[in-house]
Amino acid sequence: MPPLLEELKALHNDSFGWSLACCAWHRDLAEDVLQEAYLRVLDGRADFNEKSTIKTWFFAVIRRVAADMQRTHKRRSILNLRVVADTLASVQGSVGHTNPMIDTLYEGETSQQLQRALLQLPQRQREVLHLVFYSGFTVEEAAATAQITVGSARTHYHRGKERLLQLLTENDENE
Amino acid sequence: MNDTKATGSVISLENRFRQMRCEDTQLAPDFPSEAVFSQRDSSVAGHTAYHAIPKVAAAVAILAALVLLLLTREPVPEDPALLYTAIMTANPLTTESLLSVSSDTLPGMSSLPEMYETGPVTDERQRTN
Repeated sequence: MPPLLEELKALHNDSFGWSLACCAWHRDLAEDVLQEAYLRVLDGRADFNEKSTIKTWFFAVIRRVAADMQRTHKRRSILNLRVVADTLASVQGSVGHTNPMIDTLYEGETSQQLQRALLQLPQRQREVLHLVFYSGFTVEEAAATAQITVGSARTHYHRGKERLLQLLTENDENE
Repeated sequence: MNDTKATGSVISLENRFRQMRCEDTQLAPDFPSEAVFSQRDSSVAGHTAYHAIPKVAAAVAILAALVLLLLTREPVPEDPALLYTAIMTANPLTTESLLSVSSDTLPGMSSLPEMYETGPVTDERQRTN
């Protein structure tokens, strides 16, 4: 197996986690996105230029694929309108609302709470927080992956962290 | 005190993300097998080999369209009146220029004027003229 594929194999679990975050935790979509990202690497549509680490580069590829696929799915599939509706409902934080797909995804209550709170954040804040806390990126690496400036990433990180902690605290108090 | 609380909150966040990560790892699909990759590799080679075909086809099509355009292009219709005016005004003809005949133009003319101009003008010659 070529060295690049060896690296991708080592990153596979992290890549899937990132793919889930990019697809609002819809597992089927996340698997499709990850598969498409691998294909893009193999057929040369995504070319590693060695300007960043493989992890940063591949996560940016996943993010781009997810955006492309979600656009396509939104246009083509009525089923995905339900996905969007679920996501919107989660973002609006409707009382007692549960996303059935997410409920089947996570058994642990902690992960469900975290995921619901993350979905209430703006996309950029969610991405930066996920990259830093989940994938262990530095803010600079997160900025490169999310294709924003480091200053902007820092702002998203601080505001996102504050808001996420607030949401989780509110959630804990309600329960 | 606030710093301790903030640190505690960050640690709490880290723990939550770590738990989520553990659960995601259990859900992750298998990494595509080597057989799938090698199969893709061969098709990638084919893809690369034939990758240039659309570009060549596009170039040929553009070239053919240009040639067709040149061949089927009709000449711009010209107004005869304008053409006549253009020709007539291009080289203004004056009496002087019409009368100035050089020996290069009519080599035999060099001897003729002497014949006709030097002779005396008689009444008979005037009549014949």
